Amino acid sequence: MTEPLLTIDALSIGFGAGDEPLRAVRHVGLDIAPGEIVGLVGESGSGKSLTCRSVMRLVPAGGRVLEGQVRFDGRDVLALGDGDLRSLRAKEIGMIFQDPFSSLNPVYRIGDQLMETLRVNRGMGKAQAREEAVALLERVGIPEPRRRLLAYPHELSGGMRQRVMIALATASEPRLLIADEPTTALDVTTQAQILELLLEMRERLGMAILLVSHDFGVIAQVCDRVAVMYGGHIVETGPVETLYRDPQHPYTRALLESVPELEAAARDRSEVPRAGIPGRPPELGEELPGCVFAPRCPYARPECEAVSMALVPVGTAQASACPIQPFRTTEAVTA
Amino acid sequence: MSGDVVLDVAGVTKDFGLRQTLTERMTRQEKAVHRAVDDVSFSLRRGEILGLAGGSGSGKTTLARCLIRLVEPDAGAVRLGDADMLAARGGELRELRRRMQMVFQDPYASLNPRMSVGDALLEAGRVHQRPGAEDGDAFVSALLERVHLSASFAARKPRELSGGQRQRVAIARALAVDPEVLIADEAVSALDVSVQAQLLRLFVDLRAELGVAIVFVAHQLAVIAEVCDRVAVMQTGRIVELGETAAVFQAPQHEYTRALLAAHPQPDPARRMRAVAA
Amino acid sequence: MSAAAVTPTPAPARRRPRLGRLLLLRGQPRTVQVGATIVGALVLAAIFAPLLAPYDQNELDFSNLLAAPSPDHLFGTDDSGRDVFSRTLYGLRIDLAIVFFVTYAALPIGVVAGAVAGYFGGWVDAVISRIVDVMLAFPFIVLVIAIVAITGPGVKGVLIGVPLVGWALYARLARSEMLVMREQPFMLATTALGYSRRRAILRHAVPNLIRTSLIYSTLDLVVNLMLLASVSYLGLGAQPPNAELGSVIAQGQANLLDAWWVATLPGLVLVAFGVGVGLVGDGLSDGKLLRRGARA
Repeated sequence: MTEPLLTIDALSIGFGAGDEPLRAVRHVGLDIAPGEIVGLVGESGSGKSLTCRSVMRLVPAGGRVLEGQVRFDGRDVLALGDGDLRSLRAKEIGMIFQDPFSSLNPVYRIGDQLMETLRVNRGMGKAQAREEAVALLERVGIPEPRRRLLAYPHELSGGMRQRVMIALATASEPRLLIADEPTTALDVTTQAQILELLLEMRERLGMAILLVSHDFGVIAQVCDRVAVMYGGHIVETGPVETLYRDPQHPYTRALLESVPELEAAARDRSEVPRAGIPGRPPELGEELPGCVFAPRCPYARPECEAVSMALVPVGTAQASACPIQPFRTTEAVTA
Repeated sequence: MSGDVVLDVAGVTKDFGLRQTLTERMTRQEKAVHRAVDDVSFSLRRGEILGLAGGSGSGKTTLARCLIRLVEPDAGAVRLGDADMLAARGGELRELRRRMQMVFQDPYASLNPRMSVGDALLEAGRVHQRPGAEDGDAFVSALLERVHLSASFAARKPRELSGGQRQRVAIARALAVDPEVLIADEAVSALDVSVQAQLLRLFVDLRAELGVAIVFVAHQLAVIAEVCDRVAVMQTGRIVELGETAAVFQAPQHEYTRALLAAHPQPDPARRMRAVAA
Repeated sequence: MSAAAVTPTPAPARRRPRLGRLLLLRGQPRTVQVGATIVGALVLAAIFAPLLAPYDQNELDFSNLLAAPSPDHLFGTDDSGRDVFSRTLYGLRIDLAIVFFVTYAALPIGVVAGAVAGYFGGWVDAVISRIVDVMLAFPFIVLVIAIVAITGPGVKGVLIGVPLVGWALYARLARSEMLVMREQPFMLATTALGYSRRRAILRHAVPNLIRTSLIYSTLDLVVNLMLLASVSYLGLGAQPPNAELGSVIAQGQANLLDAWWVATLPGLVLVAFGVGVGLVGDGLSDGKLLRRGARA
């Protein structure tokens, strides 16, 4: 495998001052190779958004990195000075968010916001920035880009706004794009278009993407690899196909079994649909002995309290935080 | 499935923009007429779960609100049993609304933040003088049990509950008044899938145990596929396709239904919408 | 799998009773603790003025005119030899009683009026909002003078005039919040559940609307106190010889150069009250206090 573009190593993020902050992200490690699309999937409170924000040093107020490293192209992101950090954000890593409305400034025209970015970050002149802005809008599939430059954010649909956000985030052709639930606020048809646009941008610019989503369907559409988060830990990583076909961690398996499917339409209506996962996820700062998923795990056993949550390789590309792999034996026979 | 119709909707139409509310005027919304719901008709049988699908702006939420007149329809008829929902006034309307309850999307906003769970459930029961509501504790714990929450939840405030628990409480509050029809307006959309699945199961159980009919509004087709007997697909205010869920999903007749199904993000990476060129 | 296993039992409640938390000020921001201490001390001093005051407020001592502050007379004496400290305490007593009354008489009226306007919209809203506009546009001092002209001199002008006008601001605050709140699912739910409008407004909306008004009322308390002081400074307030902070300060002004204490020390008490209330208001708007404290 090539040298990773981004390495997150043993990252922990906590909230609150003092010696015992509430831990929201625990000892998370993740690599992204150049041009790779990696998905970070998990339910609310799993720590996936915090993890991706830490790459841009955008951990929200009250939170801080307790330990660990984020390395981008060999540089220690968490130790960068203000100037270097700004240039990293401006040129090398782009980011888009869930709500394309609130991430565009409502009082400025689309064109002005794009041109400002180009002039500040790429030192362009006014005329040059205008031409580049048109080209950028064209690149993200916005029809009549010259006219759209004059539009205000509220005059565009949600999908169009997210396209503008992608144009803004990729204006300086970053090598990594972080997309935090980029399609959650959109209709399913628009979502499909935006996901396709992300794939297209990857091909054209060769950039890597870290895609955060609660929806495994979204992840499955575009990602090469996926990391599953639960209770602040990454519990499993692997290529998206093998992880879907053969999940190694009981949480991954339960999560996949919870995802509603169109095929269910054919099922007998009197049958009770899927059960979900009993219980609730751990609350922020809740300290559990051993495996964080054990209290909800159908395969839990006494040894689980001694599990370290370190990822153990399974096969060539997969890794799971469950060393017990309780359903492995039955599964292996059929596989 | 029994064939008796509990809810009959005929030609319901709702325009926005003709008469503006103050909120709209303050946010300077356009004054052009927008037909949010356009001549919609369907009927709901006892114990049936009917899905209302469609993208944002398809009018599904407005339609749902028209049914209990949270939004006043401009035309059409809504009949609940033998009663004319649109002609009812005052106490009669309140009684009809009791028989048709609604569960909202946002579990963080659909409960009064200042009321304990027990108070909210009991209030609903007392206002409508439901049998058993005189004995507060027993009434509340029976309702909580119905939605699989322990009786100790009665003393809690909404902020102490998770999203899934709040939604259970909202369902319990709706059940407190013994409705015949439950309208679930994107009731599981804001929840994580593992919790969502629990709630879907709860809806199916309630239908089986209480015989309540459910109008299940959802933008996620897969959620509708899981629980609905029939599905109505809405686009720009109209029902463009209506039929048995299995039939509609296997052989969609309308192109909008086909587009929605094609855009659905399949969790199986082998069935991507488009092959990823490496 | 048993259905009951789906949800966990809640953790035992670990909160203290609300009143206890409020009174102990435990876990509140420092600003609130300081502010509440100042306000609390002043309110207690006002309540127990008859016990705390070393002299009668109107006791004259012509051998001791304009005496400087000393252990005998903490705030000195005025030009009739009256003890300024005692007069300040009694003045504070009257002032706080009036100010709390006028402020918190206006608040519930305003909140309910605003909630009604926002809830119903249409002509109800138009009528209430126009009355609010008129009230807010009316020159207040003129109103007080007019009331005094009818009722005769005394604090009645303020007692009637302030609530008459003061509710309008609370109404405007509550109305604008209600416009947003009535679209909230829990308010829609009150309609869907077939509750009466009265119940929806009074029991569901108002307890949620009132927080903003309570925060604003801390500002209003100070404004009203200043207003009261200026009205009696103009001679339209409490009538002599009874002490009232505004009149004490007004009388002391004549001797400001020779006897600064007569006007300044009561003035500082006024300022201290303003600062204390302001600090509490600050803490309230941070949301830490009322979210736990306000009644359901």
